[in-house]
Amino acid sequence: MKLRAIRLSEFRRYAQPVEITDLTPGLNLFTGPNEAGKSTVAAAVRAAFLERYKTTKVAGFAPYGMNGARPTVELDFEVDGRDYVLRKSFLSKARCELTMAGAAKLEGEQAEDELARLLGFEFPGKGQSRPEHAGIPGLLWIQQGGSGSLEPMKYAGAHLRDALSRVSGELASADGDRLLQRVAAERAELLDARGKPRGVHREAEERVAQAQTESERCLAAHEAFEKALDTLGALQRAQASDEREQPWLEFERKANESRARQHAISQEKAGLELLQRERRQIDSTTALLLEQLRRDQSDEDEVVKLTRELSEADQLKEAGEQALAGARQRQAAAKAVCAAARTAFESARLAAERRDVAAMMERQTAEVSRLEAACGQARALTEEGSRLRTVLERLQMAESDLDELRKLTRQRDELAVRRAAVATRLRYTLPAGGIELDGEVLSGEGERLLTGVARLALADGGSLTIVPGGADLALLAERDDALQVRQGQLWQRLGVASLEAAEARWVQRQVAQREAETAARELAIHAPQGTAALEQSLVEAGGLKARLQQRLDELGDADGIVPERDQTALQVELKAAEAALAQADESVASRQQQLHATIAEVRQLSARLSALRQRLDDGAERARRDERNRRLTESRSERADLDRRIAQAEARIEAYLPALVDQDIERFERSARIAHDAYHARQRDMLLLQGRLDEAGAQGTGENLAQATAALEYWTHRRDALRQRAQALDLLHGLLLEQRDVATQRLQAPLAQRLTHYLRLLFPEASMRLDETLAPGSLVREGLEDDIASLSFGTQEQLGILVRFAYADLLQAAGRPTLLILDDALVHTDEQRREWMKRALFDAAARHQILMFTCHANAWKDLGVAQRQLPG
Amino acid sequence: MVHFLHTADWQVGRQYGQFAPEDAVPLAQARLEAVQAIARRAAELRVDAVLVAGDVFDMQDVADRTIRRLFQAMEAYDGPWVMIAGNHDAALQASVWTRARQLGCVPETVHLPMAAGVVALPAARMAVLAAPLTQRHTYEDVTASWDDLPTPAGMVRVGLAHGSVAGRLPDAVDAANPIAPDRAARARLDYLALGDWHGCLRVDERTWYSGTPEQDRFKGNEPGYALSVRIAAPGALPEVTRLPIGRYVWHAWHERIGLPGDVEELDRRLRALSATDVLHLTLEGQAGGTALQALDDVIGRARARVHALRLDADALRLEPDEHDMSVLGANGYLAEVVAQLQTRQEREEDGDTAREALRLLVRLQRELDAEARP
Repeated sequence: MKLRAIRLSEFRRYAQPVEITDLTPGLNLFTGPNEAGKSTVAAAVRAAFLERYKTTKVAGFAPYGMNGARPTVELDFEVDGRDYVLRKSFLSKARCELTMAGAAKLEGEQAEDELARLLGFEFPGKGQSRPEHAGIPGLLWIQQGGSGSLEPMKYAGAHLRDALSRVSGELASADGDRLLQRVAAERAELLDARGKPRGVHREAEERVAQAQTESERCLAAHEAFEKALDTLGALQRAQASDEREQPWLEFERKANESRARQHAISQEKAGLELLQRERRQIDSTTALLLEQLRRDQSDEDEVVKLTRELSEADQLKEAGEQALAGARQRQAAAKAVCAAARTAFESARLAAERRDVAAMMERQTAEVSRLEAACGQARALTEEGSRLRTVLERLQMAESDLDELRKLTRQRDELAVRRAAVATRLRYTLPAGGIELDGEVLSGEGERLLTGVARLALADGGSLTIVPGGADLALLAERDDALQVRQGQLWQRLGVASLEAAEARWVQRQVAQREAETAARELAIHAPQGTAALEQSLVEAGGLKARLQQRLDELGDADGIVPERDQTALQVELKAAEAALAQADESVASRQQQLHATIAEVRQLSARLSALRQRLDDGAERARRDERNRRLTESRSERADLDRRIAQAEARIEAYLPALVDQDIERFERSARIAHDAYHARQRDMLLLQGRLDEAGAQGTGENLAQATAALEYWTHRRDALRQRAQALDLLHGLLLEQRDVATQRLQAPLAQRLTHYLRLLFPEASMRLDETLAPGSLVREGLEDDIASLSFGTQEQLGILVRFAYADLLQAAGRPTLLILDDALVHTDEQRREWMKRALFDAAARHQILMFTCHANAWKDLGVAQRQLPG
Repeated sequence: MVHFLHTADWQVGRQYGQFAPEDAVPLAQARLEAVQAIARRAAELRVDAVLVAGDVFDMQDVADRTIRRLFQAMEAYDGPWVMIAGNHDAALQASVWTRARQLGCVPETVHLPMAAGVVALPAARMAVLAAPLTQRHTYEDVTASWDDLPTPAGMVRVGLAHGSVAGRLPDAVDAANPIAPDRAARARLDYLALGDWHGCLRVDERTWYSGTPEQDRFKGNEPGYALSVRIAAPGALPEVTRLPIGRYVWHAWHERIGLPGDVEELDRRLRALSATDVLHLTLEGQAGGTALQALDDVIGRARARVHALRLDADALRLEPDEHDMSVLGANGYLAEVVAQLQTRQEREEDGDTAREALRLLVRLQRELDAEARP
């Protein structure tokens, strides 16, 4: 493509029409200061091609302050040797006309569409053209400061790719890309960006998981049901077996057997006890028999012993008798000696006593006479009193004694009556007499009552002793004797002999009492003192004299007796004789006693011996002894028999294993009970299980499982299909991308070659990596790779221009129109790089028309082209 | 003359996961409809009894609602019915049968022997020796006791059991629930009605599997029938007729695409199918883009025609034809992608994905072409 002329009117800086003509096919360098209109020209070329003539959004095209302006651009250009004239007016009376050589003039949108097709860009639906619409022009027409921007390359990608495929011959088909898009879209319905299931695929996965869970749940329920069924079946069989076999019966039978054994044992034990008791009895009988036999033996021993002892005792007795006779002789002698001594001593003593008494008698007689004389006077005065006192003394008696006496007399009278009643009457008629009753001579006729033993002495010297019969009589006599003794005592005390006498005395005493009291009063008047003492002395003296006299009388006349020897010597002799006698007496007594003891022993021994002999010799006793011997033998035999039977019984008991019987009973009873309990527990379990099964069955666990399994199967199937489809799409997608990349690499080869061409002008060893949009990705220098964005502005700017030159080469090779516009590009480029860039520019201008606008006229003087000034 | 129907393997409660729910639900429903059809046929033919040889339910733990619906489906024929438990619905201590009784939905005319024994049907002049399974799997022949089991004189003697006739089934490897092949003779049966094998099968002149009345799997062993059995008198040979009952016919087609005309041939066959057909179509071989497009079209039309279609085309490889290559080859790097995919589709580990990718590529490219040329 070659621009020939540019005409502007009412466009921004140029209110008046200006014309730039004679544009060369190569480089056209416009220089000028800022505000000289460089950008206005560049903008006008853009607007003519890219902006819709109808758009109202381009008010900025009108010159500042001009109302009703009609910005108009007219371009003469040539494409593929064909001349075109484009005239476009904006805002006011907007128009577009495209005149082509040899063809009808196109107007309006038709003209614009032809332009777009020709140059490779798009128009916006409405409004201003934006970079995405700019296509190839957007890429090759660099606005101020835009040389580093890579954005336009994106929007030109399709054109570039098309150009590449034309140039490379590689079929980077749009069909392939459409297919790829379709595959990606289809894949995206099933898989998300991370390759995870989405949409129906995800739903299917979820449904499978749900169905899996549900199926597992149902399976568990179903298996539980089946298991319960099996359990119930097993229980049922066990129960049926129990019902058929009733295992507890066997246990109970065994328990009963054991109980029978226990019973047998207890019976055996009872029998054993009987046997043992019998044995004990036999043992006691045997012991008894043995004891008796022992006693029999000892009896015989006793006879021997007694016989021996008796003979010894007899000898002792004989000796004792002889000793006693000797002692007796010695006693008699001593007795004689003693009697003689006593006689001698007595005689002497009596003589002495008589002498003493006689002397006392003389003195006493004198004393009495003296007292009688001395008391002569007093006696008269007291005589009466004394007499009365005497009377009273004689009559002295206690009324109580009297009363007792009375009572005794009465009792005795009663007793006498009773005795008379029971007494033995002895009536006698003894004309000759001569018979004495207890010393009393009985004669004539008479009667006696015999209350006690009486002895009748007969004349011829014989006698009859009469013992009255009857116990009463003896008792009565005894009581009477007692009463009589008492009566006698009382009588003696009272000094009377009968009750009448006592009664009389009691009266006398009463009289005498009264007289005595009178006499006493008289004596008290006449002899107030001394009388009693005197009288007493006289009485005493008289008493003593009487007693002395009596003694003298007793002693007799001793005048003739003369003591032979001294009384004391005699007394010593007597004592010696008496001692000897006593000794002899004692000896006799001792011997006697000894003898008596011996005799008694002999008698006793004889008696025992004879009794023993008698018994031993008794026939019955002997028979009993034999019987005992026989029985002893018998017992011993029985005992042996019992021992044997007991041993047998014990062996039988032992054979029953008594220690285990109780355990067996318990064990079997327990087993029976357990079996029975198990049976009932099972019954209960079965009922429970049955209930649960009915419940589970009613819920239809199996049907649920079948449904869940069916759902799982269905969803698994569907999920697998979707999964396979997703995998297939994924595979397809991956393969398509991969192959497109490979194709793109091949496609990019011509572009890479062009790039390298320009790049070498700046960086001799560098290469450039393009991305999938064909934009520069990174720069590789000396093995180091730098991302484009990380390079300096200047470098980016330079690379941006070089890349565009390469694109332009490529597009041109593909037959596309190329026009490069550089508006104040390379402003950040240093002098060295600028020199290098000049080479590139010059090289590119050899193939492409380049419009370059710059304000640095000096910097670009050596480009080999004339610098043009824009019209003012 | 005794006339009864022999059916088995209703498998009520079965679900079909290999199909989309909208296709699977009618298939499940069809099982109950088959029962209704049998009841209607029994009523029309005025048979003396209907014998059901086990696997009435597909599982023990079906919902109560399903149990009720089954017995409601039987309403058209008022009996007598004799049903035994099979391995799927064994007469366990707690089973679908005990629940049915608890629900009170078992009509009086339905005999449900829970243990081996004789069900005498005096009015029908027949005695049914029933051998329900009381365990899911047993390795004893539960019909063995029949040899010595007496039945009333003058009655037709019919056995009803569920299991595998030892050594006589086409591919009977299942040794569970065995039945002696000569049981009918040994137990002096006039007829032995068997269940478990889902195809209609004559074992001998007196021993038959009725098969399931409604097909439930892609196995072409002649399912979809109930048997009408006529026995003139005790000892007479039974006269057995097949009654078509099933609604859906299941096909499993394994097609090889390769030669020109294969797609047209497939299309011709597919056109013969109708809305009661269920098809599992497995494709292998190779096809060009044009053939593939035609195939897609053919399958799309078939999918609309049949009740359910399950397609398995993983093994079908795309061999781009001239047209494909002209389109793809003219598009630069696409040709390279096609070449790579063609190589990869032979690979073991991800050949399926590559085949699918290639099919997609061709399909999308054709779509783009179609869009580009209005």
